[in-house]
Amino acid sequence: MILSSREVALNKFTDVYRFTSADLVEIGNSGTVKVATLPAGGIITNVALFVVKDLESGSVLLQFGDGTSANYINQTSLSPLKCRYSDGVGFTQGGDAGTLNGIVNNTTDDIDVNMTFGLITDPVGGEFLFCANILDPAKIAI
Amino acid sequence: MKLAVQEAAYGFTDVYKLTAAQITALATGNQVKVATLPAGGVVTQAAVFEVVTSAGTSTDLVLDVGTTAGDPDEFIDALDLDGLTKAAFCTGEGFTAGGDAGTLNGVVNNTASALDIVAEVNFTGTVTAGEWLIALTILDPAALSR
Repeated sequence: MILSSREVALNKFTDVYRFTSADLVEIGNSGTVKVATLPAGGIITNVALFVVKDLESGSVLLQFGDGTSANYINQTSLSPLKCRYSDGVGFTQGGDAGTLNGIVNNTTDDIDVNMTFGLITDPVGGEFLFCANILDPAKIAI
Repeated sequence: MKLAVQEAAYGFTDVYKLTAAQITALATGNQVKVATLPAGGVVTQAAVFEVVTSAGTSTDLVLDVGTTAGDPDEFIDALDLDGLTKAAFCTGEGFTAGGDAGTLNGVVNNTASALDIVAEVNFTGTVTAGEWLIALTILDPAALSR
């Protein structure tokens, strides 16, 4: 979901995707869900995976990227966790996560930003956010 | 102090004004809270900006900004405040990788509790003039949960 200009000004993210344990169960093991769009010529400068409400039980492994990669958030368990921030391979240089300033879509086509899952084991009660700051120079073309 | 929407559009979310009078009242080796890093939040930018040049007999006025009470240097580390030309960005250990300051994109609070962000000053002599802004960009995904 694209955020309003007020939310963007205060929070510095442009896109947010909210999901719950029920969503994860519905998607199932090894599933993939589109959570945002990286437009042609756009760039993702930072992403965050944030736990609004902890899992009450069960476990989940997931990652965020384009295609099935882990470009944005490396594979992580949702519990225990509060926040992961720009630690994917696309933000990593020389083995240090979070050292690159952004991931560019240097193509003429939009790219899907995907959440992909490893093993999902009966998750109950959790609520989560994926947040991204996506810059789209095409919108200021004059 | 949290900035208003219009002010935050310029890139920072929080600002704290540090003056010579405050530094003198605080005294060397002491700390003052300048902002809050919420649970699950991230500091992506930390800057110190000089508004008024320092004066006084002190030639070793040093500023740290961070969250660790013992040595708050995650965001700004041992900044030579009386020698500052105009500004410093992300020089703290939380932004440093491989010995290069400013190479990491953010400092995460991956805990369930908010953290105080404090400034600590160390100096000898007097600080009779000077004014600086400590400006931070703090991302708080919790504010987007609804």
